[in-house]
Amino acid sequence: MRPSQKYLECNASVHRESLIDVAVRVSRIASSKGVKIPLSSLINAIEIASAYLDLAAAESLSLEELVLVFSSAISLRPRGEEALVEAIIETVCGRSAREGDEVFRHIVEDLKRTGSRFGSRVAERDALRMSREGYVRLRLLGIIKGGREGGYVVGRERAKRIASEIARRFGSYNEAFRELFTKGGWRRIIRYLDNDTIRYMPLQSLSLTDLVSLYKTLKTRRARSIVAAVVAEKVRSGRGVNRGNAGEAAEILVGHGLIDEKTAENLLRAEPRTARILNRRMESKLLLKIAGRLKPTNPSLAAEIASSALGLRGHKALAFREAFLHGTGAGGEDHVEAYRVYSMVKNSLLKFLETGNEGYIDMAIHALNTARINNDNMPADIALFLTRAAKTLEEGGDLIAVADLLAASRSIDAYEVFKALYNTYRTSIGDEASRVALRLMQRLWNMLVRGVRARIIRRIVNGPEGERIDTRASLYNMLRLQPPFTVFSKYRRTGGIVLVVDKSASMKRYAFDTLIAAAALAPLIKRLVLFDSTVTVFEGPRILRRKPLEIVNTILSTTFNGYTDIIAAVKHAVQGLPPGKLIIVTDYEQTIPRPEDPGEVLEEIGERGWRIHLFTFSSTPGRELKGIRVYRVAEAKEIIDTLTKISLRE
Amino acid sequence: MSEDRDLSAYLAEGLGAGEARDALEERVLKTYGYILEDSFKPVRNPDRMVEELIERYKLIVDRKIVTLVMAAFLTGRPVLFEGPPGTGKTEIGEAILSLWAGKPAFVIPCSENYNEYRVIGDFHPLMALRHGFSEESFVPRPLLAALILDAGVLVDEIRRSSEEFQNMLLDIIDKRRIIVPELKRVFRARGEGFQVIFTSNPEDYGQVELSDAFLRRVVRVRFSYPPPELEHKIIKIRYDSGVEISDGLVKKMIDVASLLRKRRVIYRPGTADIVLWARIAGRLARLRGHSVVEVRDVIDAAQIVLYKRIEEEEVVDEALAKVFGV
Repeated sequence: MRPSQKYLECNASVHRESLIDVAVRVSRIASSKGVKIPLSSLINAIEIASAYLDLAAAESLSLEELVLVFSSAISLRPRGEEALVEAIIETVCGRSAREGDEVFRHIVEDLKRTGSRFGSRVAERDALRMSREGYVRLRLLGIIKGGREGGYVVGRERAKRIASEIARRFGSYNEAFRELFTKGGWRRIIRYLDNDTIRYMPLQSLSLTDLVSLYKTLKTRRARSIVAAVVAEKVRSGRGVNRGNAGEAAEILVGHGLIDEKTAENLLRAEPRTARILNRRMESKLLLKIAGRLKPTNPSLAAEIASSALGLRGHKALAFREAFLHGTGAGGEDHVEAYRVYSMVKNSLLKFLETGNEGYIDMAIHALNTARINNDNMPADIALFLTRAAKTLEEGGDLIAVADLLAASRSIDAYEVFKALYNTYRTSIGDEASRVALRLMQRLWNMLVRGVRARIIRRIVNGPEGERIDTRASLYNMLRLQPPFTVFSKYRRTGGIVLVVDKSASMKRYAFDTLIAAAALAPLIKRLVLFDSTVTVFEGPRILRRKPLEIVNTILSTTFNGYTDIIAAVKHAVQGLPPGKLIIVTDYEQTIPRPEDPGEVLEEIGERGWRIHLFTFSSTPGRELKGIRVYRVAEAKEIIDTLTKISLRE
Repeated sequence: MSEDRDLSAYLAEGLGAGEARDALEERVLKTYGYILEDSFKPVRNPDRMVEELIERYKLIVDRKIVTLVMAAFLTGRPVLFEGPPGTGKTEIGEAILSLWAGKPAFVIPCSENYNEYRVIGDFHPLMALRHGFSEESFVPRPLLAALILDAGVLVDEIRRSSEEFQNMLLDIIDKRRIIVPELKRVFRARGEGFQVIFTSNPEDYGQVELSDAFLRRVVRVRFSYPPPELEHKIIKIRYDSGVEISDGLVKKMIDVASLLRKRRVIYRPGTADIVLWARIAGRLARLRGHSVVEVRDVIDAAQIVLYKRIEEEEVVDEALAKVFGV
């Protein structure tokens, strides 16, 4: 808090005669806060303060003036200065002393309630009978100390010291109790709590994880149901639900029948597998409804929820996942059979591309033949794929035909095809297959890049002088008699982007997608850095258009140690360039030991003027990074959109 | 001859009547005597000082800070002004010192190779060959001159100097005397006029950290960007281009500056930059024959004043676009 905010409540002033007194007290309080003020500085401060009074022709200093004079005369480093200001305010306004008295009054009241006195022994059973709540409070705040044969109350002076400490640290008695209870104190007093007392505990301020473990320590059903109600409320608000506690929270809520749609959704969002637990209470239809609702924002999560809700495992779960993701309906379970066939055919064909082993063709044909699928209610792209697959295989199914089929199919993940082609290319040297694979890779790459549809040319109607006429667009408009008939175009100005992409094992798929997006934006990219444990730097804006396969080669080629070195990559990325945009796509795990923390390195680069955008997937930086935009993405597709947006922003 | 007589008059005023003066002091007068030409009655009252600062120097300074600085002078302690660039540290320091001493202050801009010879005095090599290390070959420098002439000294950007240099200055200020061992002489301050203000910008790059010993001896006054209303007042006071500038435009200029201060740019414009901006806008308007300053003048002036680094031009453009909508 800035000192000026603290002045507002206190109008005290310091008279000339009490200056020395005040200074000495300030020094004492400051030293209790760990800041030593040298005597010479203190004397100087007093001298300057009295000279100040002479000059201002006044007899007393306001608090603000006192703070100004003292903090200027006693020049300390920032931390010390804060403590000094606090000490001055405490001395002049005496807040904590007054509040200490208030806390002490509460302590005395609670002691009366439990029938005990300062400095005496406490018969625990009697005290608990008289006021369980008061006893619990005194115990937690350390006024009643433990002992095997009942506790004892601390002396009056000690209690006063505790009271002023409480006032200083927490402000008030109740606040102190709440804080201590929340910060793990509940474990110490749990054995004193009974069905009634637990109602009065500040359960709301416990974290969900704490509530779950509190629940487990409770014996009676009634106490448990009180805690369960708080758990339900927490889950409903969605605060603090995470992978670790969602399962247990779900068990508690299911046990007490406190599940509703909202709580279920929050639990499922944190941990999709809780669907299995929730399934015991809820109809799977309701869970599927939730999954359907989550599908547009997070399809893979929704798929997992839905398959857990249906209790599917193994091969069936996989097929269902595929059906769910591609299907149009919320559940998509109608098409499970179609997708099972589809995934078998697809996998066989990919294997064939990869190995050249014709046995896989037979497997695909077999899967097609044995399946009895009703073509009518199957999603169109799957139906198309299966018909074309059948036709291709009937005609003999050579490598090129299969690769073409796969590459052209919308329902197949391009990365998988690319990987299969790449493996073919790498393993069959000087072969016909190798050349075909290379050609197909190039074709697939171009197709994907075109599919991104990033436009880096801005069309301007009636452009100012110096713009070039866009002949093609103008002719197009003229032919369709659609104004404007002259279209000017202009390249967008940009600071030049440096793109840093993590290609460690878990990131390969994302790296691939990111590069496709980057290739669409190639003229804007000044430097491309690929890294895992080694760092590869590509210079020049058009590298992604001219030599895509070289770069893809770098991505897909694997080093087997699986380490990542973000720090080295980032340092290479900014070397020798003036500050601009730095876009980093990584899972943010520095696994090569380095003296610095990657966050610090990034912040330091940010301070030099780089605008940094960080895309992460699973893990995020542990703390907030100053001045760095962090995007947490679930799917690689999201990167493409955001990357396009960021890159085009001037 | 007449020049000699004038100098004696200055001497009587500057060094105190009746005091003996010697060849060295004469030489100081010959070199640095010009500051005495502008001398006036020293200001030793905080209220008067605040008024004079506004009238004479067009500087708005909080009365509490003026009082504090004067209190520090009275107790014989140097003052350190610390804060971001463009907040008027140097100008205010120089003005206060001049008003306090009743004559213009000396300014010593620091750099890391400054040493005692550059500020106290050194020996002319050829003269030293001829006369040895004597008063004849001694060339006095600003700090010594300030001590002899009872004037203030502003030590600018103290963090840029070496620690040795800082300690030497502190010793001189503490004891209010300068020893020149080669001359076997001790020069003592003659009045209250000899005071020192340091300035420093802790955020600047490539500079020495101030030691605890240094911090303990100085009275540190923090400077920060003034609140917008005060900044507005300051700009109005300092604006002198003749062509009228509307309050709305000034407010928008302040908005741009505060936007840039919030952004993570390396160069953050201070109040001084906005003043300069307004002045240049005014001059542009006059050259273009406008009767009032127009938005176009302000934008054009911004490119002169705010474009400090090539990479940050975009950020400036963005801020301008946001505030002025162009």
